[in-house]
Amino acid sequence: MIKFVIVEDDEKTLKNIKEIIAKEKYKIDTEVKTYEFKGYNKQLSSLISNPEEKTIYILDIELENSKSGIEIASMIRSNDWDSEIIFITNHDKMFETVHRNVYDVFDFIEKYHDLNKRLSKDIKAILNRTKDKKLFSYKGRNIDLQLYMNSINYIYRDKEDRKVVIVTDNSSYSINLGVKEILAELDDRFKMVHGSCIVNTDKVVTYDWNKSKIILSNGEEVNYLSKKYKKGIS
Amino acid sequence: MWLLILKGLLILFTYIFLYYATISVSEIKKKTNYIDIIIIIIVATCNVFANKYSENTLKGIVTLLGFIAFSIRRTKAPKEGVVNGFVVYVYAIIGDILSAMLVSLSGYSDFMVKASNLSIVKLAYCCSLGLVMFLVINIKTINKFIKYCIKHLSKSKYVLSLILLVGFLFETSIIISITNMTSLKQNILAYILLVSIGVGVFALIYNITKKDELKLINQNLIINNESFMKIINNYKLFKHNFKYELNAISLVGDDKVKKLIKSYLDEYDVKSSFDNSDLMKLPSGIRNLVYRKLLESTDTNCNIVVDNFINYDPFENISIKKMCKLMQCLGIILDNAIEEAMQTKSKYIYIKISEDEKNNIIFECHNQIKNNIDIDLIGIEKESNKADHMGVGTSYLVKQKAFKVTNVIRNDIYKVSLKFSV
Repeated sequence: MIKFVIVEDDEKTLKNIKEIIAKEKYKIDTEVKTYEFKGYNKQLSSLISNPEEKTIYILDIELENSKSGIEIASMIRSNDWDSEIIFITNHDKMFETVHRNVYDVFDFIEKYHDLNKRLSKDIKAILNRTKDKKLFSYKGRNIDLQLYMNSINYIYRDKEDRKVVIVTDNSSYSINLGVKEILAELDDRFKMVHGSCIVNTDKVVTYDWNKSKIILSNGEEVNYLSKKYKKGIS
Repeated sequence: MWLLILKGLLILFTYIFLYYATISVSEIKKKTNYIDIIIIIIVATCNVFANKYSENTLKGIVTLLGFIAFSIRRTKAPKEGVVNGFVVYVYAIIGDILSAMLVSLSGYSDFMVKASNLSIVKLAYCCSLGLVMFLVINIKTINKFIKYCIKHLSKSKYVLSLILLVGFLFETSIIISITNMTSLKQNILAYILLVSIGVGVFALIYNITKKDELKLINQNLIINNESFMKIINNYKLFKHNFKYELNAISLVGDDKVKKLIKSYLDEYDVKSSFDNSDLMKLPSGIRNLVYRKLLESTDTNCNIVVDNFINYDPFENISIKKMCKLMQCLGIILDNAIEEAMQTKSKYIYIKISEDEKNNIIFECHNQIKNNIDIDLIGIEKESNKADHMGVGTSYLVKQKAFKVTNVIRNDIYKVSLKFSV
């Protein structure tokens, strides 16, 4: 079952959104349930606190006499990172960029500009994709590290610092774990390609066995590749 | 008998001059006392007997010992005294050789050879040598040069210095033995060899001692640098804490106080135009702090997005003491967030202020991450992921008991939340 939760105080926009969802629900096999709210209330709070099924939240940011859409999104994300959030908004790019990163928002749609087309496209995209939200977690002494497995490019052992480094597109993180220990916590897409390196095979474009290097989809070259591990990959 | 006494007196006379020559190149100016006089008499007496009964070698050894004895009395340590004695003796030998060469070149050599058979003449020559040595050593330039050599040789390894000096004396004795003091060519060759050996030896010693001197200077520089760095870091910490305390005080003061504090803070801060309407969403208690932190950042294009989910100012009723600490903590959080955000593409920090069921206020600051982070260093004292940081800020946050600080990195976003009760 898929749940749609709409939080919108404008009657006209609410009606619009319900029609779009009705059109899209006939294209999918699973049961679809829609909940509508004009603002934050106990029922909505209870829905947010019990995220059982896959849920798509469509939230207006500015709500009259109620908590804002952002606040509701914050409550959703306090215990549920699997649901999708679409904001109906009229804010600037910086606002969108920040909130997209912080709350893992799927999209921001302008209320009075192409709402139907954009919302329809987004709903289709969400329903058709298999979202990979598997998380790798590590608890440091004073900080918790949580990374989506699909954001990890590769992991290698830094011989100088004697730490394992997890590399993503934007940054890298050093932790006190062994390479094999980390491999045990990751899923099957991660393979050992060298005694000191694990790679996310979904991110690999080429394995150059002659030059002992891997080329990733972001163009980065990883110089940890050993023929000893060729069988495990092919 | 009378001749012997006369010889003794003349030798004594020589050694008195040589003694004063030693004093003129020593750093420690002690008064001449009975011990010095006894040493002079002993050395002079030994020399008389050496002259009468033995070879020049023994005379040379006695003279050397005399110089060493004079020098030990004028230095801090016996080792230093031995080296100093050797140096002055070397110069005395040089003086002796050069004067002998001059005499031989002057055309009076025949006379001197004959005259030297007369002990009186020989003794008079020795005395005048002592006087000449005293006068030459007291020439300012030569005096300074000898003092410089003594100073550096004393600082360097004593064994090495002694070996070099003995080697030099050995070379000079070879030169003396191969020249017969009558041929002009041989004399010139001897001069050149002496000078070149002398220059070579002292250049070598100079290089060795210079390294030691440089090491000492470097050590002093390092120590001074460390001391200055401590002072600068203490000042930075003071300035850092002082500003927060002023911010806290400005909340409880009247308009006059606020105006006065604002003028102090304006003096410390970089003046640049900065405008961001999201700042107005912040509670007034921390608006000023965030504003100043953004101003202080090296790039004024740091964006700030604020979500304030509480409709009152929670900082109004907090005690001054708690407010000061809170300001410090928030300042650290903002500093770290802005510094890291400036290195990312988007250059933003996100601040969220909310309240939980127990009416605790939660201040959250999010920023994107660009650089490598060692997860296990975070919050450890004197450890930092940033090369130029002291590792003080985050460890200070972690230690706070009045506020609960949690750090989470989720998908390249660093989130710090600080929870406190009002």
